[in-house]
Amino acid sequence: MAISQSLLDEIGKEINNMPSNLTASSTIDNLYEVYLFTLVLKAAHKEGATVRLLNMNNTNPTTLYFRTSPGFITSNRQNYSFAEIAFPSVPILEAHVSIRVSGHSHVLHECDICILLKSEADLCRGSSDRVAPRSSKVILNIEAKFYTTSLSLDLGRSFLGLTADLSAKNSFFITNTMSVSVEKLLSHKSKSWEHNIKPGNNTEIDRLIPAFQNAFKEFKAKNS
Amino acid sequence: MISDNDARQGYFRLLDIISKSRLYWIIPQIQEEISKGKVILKSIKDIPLIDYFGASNYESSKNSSKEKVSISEAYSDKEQLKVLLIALEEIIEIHSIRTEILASLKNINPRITSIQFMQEETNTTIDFITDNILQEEAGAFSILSNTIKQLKEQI
Repeated sequence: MAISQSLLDEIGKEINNMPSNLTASSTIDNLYEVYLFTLVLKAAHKEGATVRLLNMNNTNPTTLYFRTSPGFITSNRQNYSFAEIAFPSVPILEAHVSIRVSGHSHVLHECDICILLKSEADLCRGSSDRVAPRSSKVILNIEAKFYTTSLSLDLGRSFLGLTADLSAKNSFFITNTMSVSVEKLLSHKSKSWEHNIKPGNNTEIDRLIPAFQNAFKEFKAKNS
Repeated sequence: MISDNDARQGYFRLLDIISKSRLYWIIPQIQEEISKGKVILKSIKDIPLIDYFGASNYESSKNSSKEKVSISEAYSDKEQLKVLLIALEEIIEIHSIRTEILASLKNINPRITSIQFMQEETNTTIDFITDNILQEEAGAFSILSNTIKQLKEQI
């Protein structure tokens, strides 16, 4: 048998025997969002914040729970996790994955990663109805795109539409891959973006984390 | 280098295996990538090129003032197999993301031992990450990664 055929057989066997519990494609997007969430927390820590990981009903968890689809910050159907970011002498922030935020138009938008004022989060939680935080209270918002195929231009256009309706101070478009057309569009419109963000791509990650730090730096300066 | 026939057989055999495995969900993405084929923008003045690709693959721009036309060419058997192997490599990349996530969150709070992704409405756990699971995956993915790399060099 030719070597190439045995390699194909080997790959087939390994796929069949894989122990992975990745059972649905939805988890890839969710995983990438949480990965970017950890990069934001790294940036907050580097900028001098105390970062705490919390669940809805547990202040010192051993298991963290994340959403598989966007939801309300007020939801207590699952014990979803978030992070508290505390810089000295300025209002406390919270970092959430995949929550709905209210735009200028009062339309609800999905924020893949959202850093907002804790006071706004508490206001929503104190409400008797399902209330989404206002985008004017969002410090940093990330649109995460993990693709195994190349990005299509409509993703860049969608991001432009999202930022037009959000008052978030800093919005980022971040992807694991590249797209010349999307990058050209976002650059022309002076939007923040980064590509090739994945573990091991230190050049791009080392450029992104300081960008997050800059957002935190500005927040501290405006609120001190 | 493997033959076109080997590539074609390999592509369909791996596609069949993937479709019956836990990775079945990557099939639509692979098929979308392959269906895009190659779109080449060329000047309408490149007559020899149009003759090369043939009239059946020729689509002219509806705007007559434009001088560029798009020509669609399907992926070859070897290229299709390569697309499939690249998709599998992306899966391996996902493992590195899961590893990084747990390590980063444990760095913030060493008490963290696991991460779960849960569907809100159904209370179903879609993914579950612990150190033990990641270690088990690392072994399998390492072998798969090396095998894929060897095969890509042969295509």
